[in-house]
Amino acid sequence: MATIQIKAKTTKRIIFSLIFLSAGSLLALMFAADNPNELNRMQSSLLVLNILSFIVFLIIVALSAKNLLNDYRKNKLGAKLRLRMALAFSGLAVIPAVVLFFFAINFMNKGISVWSDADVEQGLNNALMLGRSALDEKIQQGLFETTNIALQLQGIENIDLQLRELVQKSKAEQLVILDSDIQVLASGSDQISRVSTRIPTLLEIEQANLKQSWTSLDSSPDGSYLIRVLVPVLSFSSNQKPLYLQAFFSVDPKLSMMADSVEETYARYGRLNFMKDPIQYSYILTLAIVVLLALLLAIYGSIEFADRLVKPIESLEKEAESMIKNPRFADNNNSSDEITTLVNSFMKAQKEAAWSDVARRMAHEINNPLTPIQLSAERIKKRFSTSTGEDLNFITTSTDTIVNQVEVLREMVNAFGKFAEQPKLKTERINMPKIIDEAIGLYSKDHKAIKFSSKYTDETFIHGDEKKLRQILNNLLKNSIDALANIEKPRITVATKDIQINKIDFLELSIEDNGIGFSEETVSKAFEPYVSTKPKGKGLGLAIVKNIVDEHQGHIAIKNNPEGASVIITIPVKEHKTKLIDEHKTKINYGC
Amino acid sequence: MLSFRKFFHVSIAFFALTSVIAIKAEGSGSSYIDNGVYYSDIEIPINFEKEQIKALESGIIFNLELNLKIVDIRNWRLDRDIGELTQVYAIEFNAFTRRYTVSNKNTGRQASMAMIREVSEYLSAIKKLPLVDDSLLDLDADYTVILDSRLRAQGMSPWMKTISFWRESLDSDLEQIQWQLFR
Repeated sequence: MATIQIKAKTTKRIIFSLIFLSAGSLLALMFAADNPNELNRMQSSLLVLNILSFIVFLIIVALSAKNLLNDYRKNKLGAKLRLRMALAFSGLAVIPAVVLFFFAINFMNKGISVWSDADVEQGLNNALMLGRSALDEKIQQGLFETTNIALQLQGIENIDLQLRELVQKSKAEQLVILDSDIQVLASGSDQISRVSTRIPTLLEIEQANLKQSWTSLDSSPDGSYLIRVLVPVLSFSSNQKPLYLQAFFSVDPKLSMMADSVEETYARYGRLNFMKDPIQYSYILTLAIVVLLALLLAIYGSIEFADRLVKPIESLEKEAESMIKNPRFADNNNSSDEITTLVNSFMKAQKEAAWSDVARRMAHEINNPLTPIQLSAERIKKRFSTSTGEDLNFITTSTDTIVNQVEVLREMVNAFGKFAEQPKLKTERINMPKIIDEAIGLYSKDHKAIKFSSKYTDETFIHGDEKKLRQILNNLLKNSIDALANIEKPRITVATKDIQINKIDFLELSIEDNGIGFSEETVSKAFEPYVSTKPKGKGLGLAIVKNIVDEHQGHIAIKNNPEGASVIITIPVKEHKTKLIDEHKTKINYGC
Repeated sequence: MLSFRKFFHVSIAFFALTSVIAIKAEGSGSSYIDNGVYYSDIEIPINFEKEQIKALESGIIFNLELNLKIVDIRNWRLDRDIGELTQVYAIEFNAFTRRYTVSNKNTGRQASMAMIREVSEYLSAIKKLPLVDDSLLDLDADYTVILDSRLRAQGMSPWMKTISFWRESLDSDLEQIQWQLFR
């Protein structure tokens, strides 16, 4: 029990942690939705966390569901109700969750599709083009100036000095002389120049050769822009490698900043657009896992809720069962609803308890004055025994009547007493055919008109109380004999049969006659005390029989045949625990 | 609305491993000493895949990571690592200038190119990469330079790369190149 409690506690802790994690994931997803880069960063860990939660939850829910199904298969008390409730609650949770999931996906897709809006893209392209055209004029100015400087450099020997002077005079930030192998031969830069030497590529050199100039707009790491111009310089001698002048011109910082801003926006847009699909799938996957987690939680919750709801009903049924000493099989077992079973069981328990109580009290209260009445009647008879004639006759008849009726009353009281008292069974191994034969022998002598027959195997042993089993046979044979009054060719058949229900061996004892049978009203109340169709019957015979059968963990049923009626008793061959038999009660159901 | 195809992709993504294209390249390397320092010239033909170019033009930055290891290969004993050098080049596209910029993260030196072919050519032939000081080496030893190169898209988590499994991988590993330090 302690282990189960610890397990339950651990399970609850796990579940609460999982709920916490799922809630955390949802929040993370919500915040990350504002910042796809953030989602990008934390997606892996978020997903692993959710998948783990999902697997653990799935195992817990599967185990709970398995237990519930096992209980249902074993027809355990409340299992059907629990299963129904769990299914109903789960169903209620699944439908809105699925609907919400698809709507959320739809809205999310629409939201993400805004990222790649055609108008936005066109706007950004136009902004880029506008920025570039604003710089075109500057590029042309740079080209003009660089070409002029290149012309001035022709034939000059101290090129380093000249370059420095030219940088001072021009708007260029840096001037570099390179050969065709892209080796820097000389350079001159403005004192405040931020430009680090950027070497042209071979392709640019080729282009400069072909077109006599090469211009480009370059970005620098600090976000500013530079105009780079490359022009050939006429060689100083014919043996020399071709030379090139590369000049850098800075772009107005304000313009540079705006161009950088446009470029950054364009790049961000491009990145988002590029990652649109994977981000979308990530959202869907995360959402799907969270929804599945929520569903599992709902299923687990519904199973737990159903368990808790059914528990008090279960204890009520147990209480009801404890009110009667022996557990009984329901007479009206055609209803499969647990609440009906519970109510029947409770009512039956109350009725039996009430009857036992009434019988006990009546026996006590009636028995007390019987002896003084009887003694007084005998004393009157004795006192007036000397009387003569009519007086004597009157006294004798009256006192005899009193004594006889007191005897009848005493018998009735004893019968009530027997019904009320339930002595413990003294079980032993009994050969049923033997006691049946003896009972038949006893009655057949006095009722020779009735044809008694029996059908059974020679030896069928059961564990039971011999005295009480004989009482069953006596009561039932007596009832059959009474039912056969004024019947042509009366017959009584006693039969036994070995049967097996859910691997448990039972002995089925049936007593069949061709008598008047039971009325419809009697069939439903046959086992209740004080119910009888016989003019002088006390209505306790079948009630006592049922008590004894119940004590033996058995089942009794009556039914009308086309001719007469049958009483069928099923008693386990071996003693079993009450619960074991109780679990199979629904399997034994006679249509009576 | 969510199509079945997308759903299928998402579910498969669970089981998809991070795929990395291994580019088969017949690269080569050589080393030489200059003023007491060993330098290397490396040739690693790099070709950008279509998807990588698309990613570059979409603003994704790529890093070319060159990991050079100098190992003393010894018979019957465990090899000894002498030193390791990692050279990283960042490649990005500027939509405003419509040019690619290659920045050497170690030196800060930048190169600007108009075409991706130029970028490939520029990165395929790396000249005069300083490796190790001569004084640290034993002339009798047999040193091997091992170069592992890889191209990685930046700003995309492994998860994002995994879930983009339906398109060509953005990451690629280049074939390992080895050469003797002393010729």
